[in-house]
Amino acid sequence: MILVDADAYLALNVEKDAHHKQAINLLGQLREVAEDLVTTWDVVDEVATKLAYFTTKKKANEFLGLILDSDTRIEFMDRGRGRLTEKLFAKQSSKKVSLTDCANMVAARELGIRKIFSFDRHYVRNGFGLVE
Amino acid sequence: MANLVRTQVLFPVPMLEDLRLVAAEKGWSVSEAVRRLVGDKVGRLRKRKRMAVEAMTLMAKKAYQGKVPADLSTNDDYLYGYGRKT
Repeated sequence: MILVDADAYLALNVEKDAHHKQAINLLGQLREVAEDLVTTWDVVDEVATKLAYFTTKKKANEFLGLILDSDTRIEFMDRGRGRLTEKLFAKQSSKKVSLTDCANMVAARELGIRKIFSFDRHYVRNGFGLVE
Repeated sequence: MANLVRTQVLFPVPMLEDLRLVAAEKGWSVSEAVRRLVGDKVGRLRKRKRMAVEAMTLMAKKAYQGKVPADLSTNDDYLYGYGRKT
């Protein structure tokens, strides 16, 4: 399984994003490995919100339709994960590591996921590999 | 049919007995039963797994072409409008 972070979805959805072409290339790798893809509701929330703000509401709705109608596994926050996320967030020395990033890492660890589709290097500093 | 390659598979006895029963009922050899059943399941699994990637491929094909900050994907300051530059 591979966890997909918000930056990967955003890069795919926005042509003028600096990572758009790279995201498309990496998508080719995901097709080759045929791993199950997982994300979190926090990521879905973040992507839809950013798309609505910076592109169009229609684009945000389109993203939601595509992700929710696909077999992408979506992991949800619960009380236990919330506490683990809080602890992981407190441990981070960089203020650039968001609570969503920490929620992703908690879900990934629970599911035994070692690889994340993201451009964010702080996942590497937390022991994960990136799709690259 | 594509070229066949011999391989060895270990089954628990009850599963093998069920497999032989199904094969006999269908008029298949055990080998044919394995090919049909595994082929069907693997095909469905591969199709299912493709769907998440296909959804992402569709996102890329229909990507928004208007003006946005180039670092939209990686800059969390844009979330909830904080530090909004456009």
